[in-house]
Amino acid sequence: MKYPFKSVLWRFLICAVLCSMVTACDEVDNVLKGRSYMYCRFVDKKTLQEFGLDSLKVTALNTVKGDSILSNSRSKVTNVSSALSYVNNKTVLVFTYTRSLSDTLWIFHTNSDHFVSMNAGISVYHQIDSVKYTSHNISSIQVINPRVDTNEKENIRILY
Amino acid sequence: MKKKTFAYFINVLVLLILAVPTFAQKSKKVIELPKEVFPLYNGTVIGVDMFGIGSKILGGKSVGSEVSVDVSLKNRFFPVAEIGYASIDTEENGVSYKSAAPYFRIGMNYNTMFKKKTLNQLYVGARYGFCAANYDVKSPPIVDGIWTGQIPFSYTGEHTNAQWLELVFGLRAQVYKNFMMGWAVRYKSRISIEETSHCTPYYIPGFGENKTTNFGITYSLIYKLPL
Repeated sequence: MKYPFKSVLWRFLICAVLCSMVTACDEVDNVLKGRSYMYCRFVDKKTLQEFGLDSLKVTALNTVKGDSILSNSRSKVTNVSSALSYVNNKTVLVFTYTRSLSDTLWIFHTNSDHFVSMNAGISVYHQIDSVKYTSHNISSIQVINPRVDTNEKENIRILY
Repeated sequence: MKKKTFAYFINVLVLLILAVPTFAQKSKKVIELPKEVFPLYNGTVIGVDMFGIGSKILGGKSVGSEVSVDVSLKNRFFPVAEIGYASIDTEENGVSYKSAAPYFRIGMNYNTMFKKKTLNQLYVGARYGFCAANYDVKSPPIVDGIWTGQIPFSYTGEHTNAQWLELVFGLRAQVYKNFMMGWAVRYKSRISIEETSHCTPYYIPGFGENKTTNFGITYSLIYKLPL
């Protein structure tokens, strides 16, 4: 009896096409890209609800350009994200609310470089060890999630 | 007249009843061929993958090859062991990645053409794969664009253990006597890939790029050892 080898070839081709379709739907794992930012959320100390500042200027000290403004918002601000230093274990940020009112935050952190993939390259993550601050406007600060990476999540909570 | 008609009807009915077994007997006249009976141990087959060697020429990032040994059990089940070696040496956006390691797979093929006395096969199979690999990642220093300073980045001898599963669809065709060649399509699913504090492995020999699932092809030259 002659074996119908052509039909086998067809079956194989169908399997190959199905397999390639499944692979085409494959998810891309590596979503981490870019710089890690520390995400700060503002909370009312009495109600523990979201707190809005009328204006906020965040200045980083000792940067390449001296002191650099990282963000400057004149409308209601309820959160802010800030980069941290790759090399130093301390990042100093000044929160300016008005001309005469500001707070300084000293973020102490450990830096860790990580190769993610050839596409995403290398990211630098931070682990917040402690936070010191002045209390001109700030009531207290809580470290909610000490790991600062490219997944935006609340790292510190500032109570006003 | 009525009596004659009734007798005629009865005669026809009797004839029909008698004729049914005859028709049935005629329809049963199918030539039955003797069934192929294969012994439990039906031989050993050795294969060498050529696709991994050629993939670099076709633009792939890695190069490698593997040897497979499978045993035919009743021409139906084929327990298989595969051992391979693959390496990668690539550079993108200034980041270089280097790794080379052996890998192992064990599993089973099921020959869908097990009834046929032929070396040709269309099979499906499953594999468990394992690899322990070292790798090097090097990059120019990371410059902090906001604050001063830069971090050197060079990690050599990072280690990973990886495990994965594969679904295999394959085809084997007899070329000459005991020689065959075959294609196999592999759908790979990651179980675990260990990463270090500084590096996530980018490439796992035998599995491919570090993704949840991967897709692989092997093209093998195969020889069935004489029984």
